[in-house]
Formats: sequence, structure tokens, C-alpha cells
Amino acid sequence: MRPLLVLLVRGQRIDRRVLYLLLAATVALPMVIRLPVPPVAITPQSRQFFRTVEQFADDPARRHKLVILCTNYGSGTSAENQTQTEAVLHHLMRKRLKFALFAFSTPQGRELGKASAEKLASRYGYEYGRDYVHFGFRPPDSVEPLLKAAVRDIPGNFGNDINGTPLAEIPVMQGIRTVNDIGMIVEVASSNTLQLWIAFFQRVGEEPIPTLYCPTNVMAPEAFPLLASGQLSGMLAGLNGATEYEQLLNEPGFGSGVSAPLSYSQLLIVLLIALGNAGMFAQRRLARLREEE
Amino acid sequence: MGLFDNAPLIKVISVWLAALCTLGIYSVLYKENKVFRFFEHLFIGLATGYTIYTTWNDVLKPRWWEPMTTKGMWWWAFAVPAGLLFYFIYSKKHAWLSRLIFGLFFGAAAGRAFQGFAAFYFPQIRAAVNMPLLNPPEAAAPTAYFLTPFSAVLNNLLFLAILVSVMTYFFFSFEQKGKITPAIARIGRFLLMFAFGAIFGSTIMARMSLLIGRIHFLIHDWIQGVLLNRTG
Repeated sequence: MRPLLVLLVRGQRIDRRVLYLLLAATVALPMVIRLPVPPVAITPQSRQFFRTVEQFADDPARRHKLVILCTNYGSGTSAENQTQTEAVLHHLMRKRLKFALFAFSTPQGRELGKASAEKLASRYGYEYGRDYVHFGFRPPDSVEPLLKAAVRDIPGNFGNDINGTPLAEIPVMQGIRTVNDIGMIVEVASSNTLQLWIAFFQRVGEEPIPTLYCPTNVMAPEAFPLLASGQLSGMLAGLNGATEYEQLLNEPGFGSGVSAPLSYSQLLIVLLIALGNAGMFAQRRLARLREEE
Repeated sequence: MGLFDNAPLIKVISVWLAALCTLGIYSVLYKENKVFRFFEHLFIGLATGYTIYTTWNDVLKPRWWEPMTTKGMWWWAFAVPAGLLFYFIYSKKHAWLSRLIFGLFFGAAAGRAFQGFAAFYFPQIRAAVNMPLLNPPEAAAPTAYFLTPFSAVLNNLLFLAILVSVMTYFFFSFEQKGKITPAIARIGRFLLMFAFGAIFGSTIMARMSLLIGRIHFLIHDWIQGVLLNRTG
């Protein structure tokens, strides 16, 4: 018993750099060697996300409306958010839905969203201006009044697209005037930007706009009440949410390719937490044993 | 042919640069060092420069400068002195001038915050009090969980129990005495810990995703794609 306790206590003194190396190896190994990984389980919120897009695309009364795809993230979270964006874009383009890109959290989101759309456009025969548009970037503080004003006049308040062309002159914007011409909002976010859409845009038109959310995994737990209240119509939580969506679309991408490293790294973290706790209890036990002696 | 016309070469250079930046930033995991400091400052500078460019290109130029200088909307010039009022906060004598513009923004923000709070939280409160607790609904409303009518009611009862116990924990208007109230509050505290555990788990997964993104880049794009010249 005592040697085991000593071993567990010693485990607590492992240099953190050894743990970093172990973690890096655990992530890298499944990328080089094919290791078994359990099949991806689709969560209800991802399935609901998928169904919402499908229902929108199948509804002839709504499918002509514009989808706003907000890319509010920077390169720091691109592993999660870029994968989500590309999965959603696959679905929108496959269903031939017209959409507008927009970014207001960080300017990097403007470029990352544009890059994702351009990457997939040729495959689906999408053309800028005809099938999609980019509203560009707006500083976060200006977006509240912008959204409130855009409720009545979208082209007038958003002004120009990313290239400086007035939105009113862009073919895909023809017939898009007020909040009632917006069919869906998809918010891909690495910070708390969703609230603006829900508070100032979602329910001010003739009918509520289905709002879909792609947060990083850190933010996902806080969004569950919004799913229960119907303010959100679906959610892709982080990289695993994006992976689930790739499975639903049968379109393996980055998420599906790295599900093995994600699973094994999570297992390692759980193991290390368990060992850390065991070490702490062992230390207390050893101290008690020494007192008794 | 210019350097920038050679797309494959540009790709190789950009991958090398990105790999060096990634390794430079991760070098802090070994210990604090000058290489890390250099790349940290490089990233901050790049991000700031890009923000300035985008703000000018997407906002100030088309929405302020061009209307003012080419479309005769001269009154936009008043935005400059109005904006400069903020800087009077640094003057003891003229600080009252900054309060004018701060007051204007505070008023607008307070009004919007009230609307925002109501629009964001009231539907959640309504959803919480409208949950069916006794009779299973004939056709379950579409929720995120796709529950059967019976399990939906069970779920709602559980939700109510958690809501009451957690709110009891945060009820500080009077001292929690007796046996029942502190016990409910104690359950609420444990339930909060469950929630924090779930958030912590999600946070770990998010951080792993970011690490995976960079290691995937290093293995796939840099080592396999450039160093070994193997793509796919």
C-alpha cells in the first residue's frame, strides 16, 4: 500500500513540460498512425441545426430570403469556428441558398469567412454578387444601433459590400429590404455576440427568424437555455459539433479528420485529472500514516 | 515574372512563416524566452494594423470620409470635434466637456441595455414557467432534446427542481434557517458544481481543439506538405 501511495505522490511532481510533451504526442500520434476511434454520436442540438436548414430550404415561401452568416471569430479559434463555418457553407451552397457574410467581433472574421466562401464557391458554382455577398466588418460598438436601424432598411444601413459596391446594386440583394427578408441567422462566434441578434433583430419582424449558433466549446453550455426557450433553433458546439455536422452532411472535413486526436487527448486529460486527485488523496493518507507512526 | 506571381513559392514561404510563428509561440511552454516575446509582439502589431485598415476600409472611408468629401455631406465633419470631446477627460480644467459626450453614450447604452435584457431573458423566463409539469403534451413541442411526451414531463420536473434549488442558494434576503431551506440551498450548490464541471469539460475540449488545429497544420501542411513535399 505504502509504495503505491509514494508513487502517486511522486506523480504530482512530474514537470509540467513532460505533460505538455505527452499531450502533444497524444494529439500528433493519431494524425500519423491510424488508431481506432468510436463513431461520432450526433447530439440533438446538431441534428436540430441540420433540420432547421433543411426545412428552410424546402419551404418555397421562405427559401428566397437571405441567410446572414456571421463569422465573428479570429485565427485563434479557427480550428473550431472555421470548421463550423465550412460545414454550414457546404449545406447552404448544396441547397443553393443565398447568403450574406458579415463580421463585427474581430476584423479577422471578415477575411476568414471570405476565404471559406471562396474556397467552396467554385465547387458549387457559386458566384460572388449573384449568389452571395459580404457585408464586411463593423466595429462591435456600432453594431447595436446598426441592427436596430437595419430592421427597416438593410441596404441603406449596411451601405456597401466588402469591395465598396453599394448593396442596392448587387444582384443577390435584389428584393432584400427589411428584417422580413432575412430567412435565417447563423452566428459563428468566439465571443458573446449572439445576444445582439436575439435582442435587436430576431423577433422584431413579422415572424421570428430562426437563429442558429456555432460557438466555441467554452461558450456552448451557456447557450442551452436558449435552445430550451426556442431562441435558438440549433447549435454546433465547437469542433465536435462541426464534426457531427460533417457526418450529417456526409462531407468529411477537418473535424472528421481530427476526431481521433480529440478523443485521445480528452482521455489523457481525464486520466491526468484522476491521477492528480489520487495523488492528492495519497499525500493526505501518507501524512496521516506518518503521524500515526 | 515577379516574386508574388509565383503562387507555389508564396505558399511555401507562407507555410514556413506560419510554422515558425507557431513554434515560436509554443516555445513559451518550455520557458519564457525572447523568441516568444518577439512573436507575441509581432501578432499584436499585425492584429492592430489589420484592425486599423479594416475599420478605415469598411467603415470610415465609405460611411464617413467619402460622403463628407465627395457627396457634399459636410455635416459629417462635426463628428470629429464630437469624438475629440472624449479626450478632454485628460484635462482637469475641461473634463466637463468629456462628460457631455460620455453622458450621451451612457444614455443611449442604458436604453439599449434595457431593451436587450428584456428581449434576451424574458423568453427564457416565459419558457421556464410555461413548461408542462403534469399532463404529457399530446404532441411534444420541437425542442433540442426530441423527448417523448412522458420523458419531456420528467425532464421539466427535473428542470423545475434544479431551478428552485439553485435560486434558493442565491436567496440572501433573509438568513437561511431551519432544516429545509439550507438543505435545498445545499443541493443547489452541488448542482451548480455539476454545471461548472460541464463548463470546465467543454473548456478543456475547446483548448484541445485549438492545439489540434496547430499540430494538424504542423504535421499536414508543414512537415508533409512542404518538408516532405507530400500533399493529400
